[in-house]
Amino acid sequence: MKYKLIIFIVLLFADFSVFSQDVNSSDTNNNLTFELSAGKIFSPYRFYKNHTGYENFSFGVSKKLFKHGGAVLSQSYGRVFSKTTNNRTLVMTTTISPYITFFADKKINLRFSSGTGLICLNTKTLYNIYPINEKIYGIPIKGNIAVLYKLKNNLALNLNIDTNYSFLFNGNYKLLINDPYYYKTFFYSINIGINYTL
Amino acid sequence: MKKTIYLILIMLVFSACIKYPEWDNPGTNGLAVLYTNYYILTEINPVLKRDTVSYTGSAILLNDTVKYNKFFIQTFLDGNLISENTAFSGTDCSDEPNPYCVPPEEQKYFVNKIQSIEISANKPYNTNENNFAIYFRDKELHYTQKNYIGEELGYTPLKTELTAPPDSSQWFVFTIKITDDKNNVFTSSTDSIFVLN
Repeated sequence: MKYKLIIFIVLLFADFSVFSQDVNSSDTNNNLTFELSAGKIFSPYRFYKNHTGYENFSFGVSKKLFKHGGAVLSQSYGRVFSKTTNNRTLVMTTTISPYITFFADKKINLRFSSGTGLICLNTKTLYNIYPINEKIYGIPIKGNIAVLYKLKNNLALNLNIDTNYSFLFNGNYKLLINDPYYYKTFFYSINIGINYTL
Repeated sequence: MKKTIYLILIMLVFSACIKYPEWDNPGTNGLAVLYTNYYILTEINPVLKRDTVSYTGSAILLNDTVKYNKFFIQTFLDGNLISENTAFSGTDCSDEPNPYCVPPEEQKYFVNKIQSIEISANKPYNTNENNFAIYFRDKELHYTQKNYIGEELGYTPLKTELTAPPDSSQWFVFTIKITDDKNNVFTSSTDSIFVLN
């Protein structure tokens, strides 16, 4: 319930910030778009198989480079928790992805993007008796499918599915993620948010 | 320039994903596969065992007497799971048509780093300062003695042998005290045993 409330507040603030702008401006030559979305993360694979996904926040800036494409720089934060091991993990992903759109002139647009960047997994045991906190890094292969519903000239509703198949850097022994078997991870998230074009 | 950037990105991805070994399937040849789950220590339970040659030993009966070098203290560790082997945990052979399928066997590994291990008797044992040798188990069920300060506790159980006889044959209760690097102290005592010198 608490997390639903947080997601709601974030979206509300996003709405306030978006509608406080002068949306009547038709100057969209710059084509720089700010994206904010929130949703739920899922972790069905290997080390994080038995973890339950919670909230996921994603922030992005995209630049339209030609009519049907461009690039998006995005950063997302997700949280997963395992009841079995009492471990909590913050999944932080920073990626840059080229994208293509299919119906740029229509009210409903479809956007595919794929790219790579850096993933950081901050895993923490929540037992007070022997706290362990470790960070592990890797390279994600990111895929994103977004459906954009144009609300106004420079405002769109964004429903997206984000997937990250990651290869963690090997060679560094850790207490929690302790076997090369775990050095492949997969997370996906379903998000809803807003795109605002300057 | 663009080509170089793409090349570097591709090299990074491929260098990160090399050499990921896969585990075998759970024992389908009649032999159990051993796998490791990682724990933090919450309690210890020392048990007296006869027969120092075997690593499992055999039980010592109540009011039994035993010579000092013919028994050992086996300290079982228990605690909270912090890292689960997701490949083997929860797998079983109930749906497996192979009659030789054996479920994988968990080995508990304790990550607490040792600050000190103290073993004492409830009455004066002899004039020596150190009468005990501690052995640690590895994954292959072998026991080795090592310089353990700062090391992880490792696999359960630990094995402690008496290296010298008592001054006189009498009843003893042994107490084991493990202190880890976060200053958690775990203490427990054995049943009493009549030790012959």
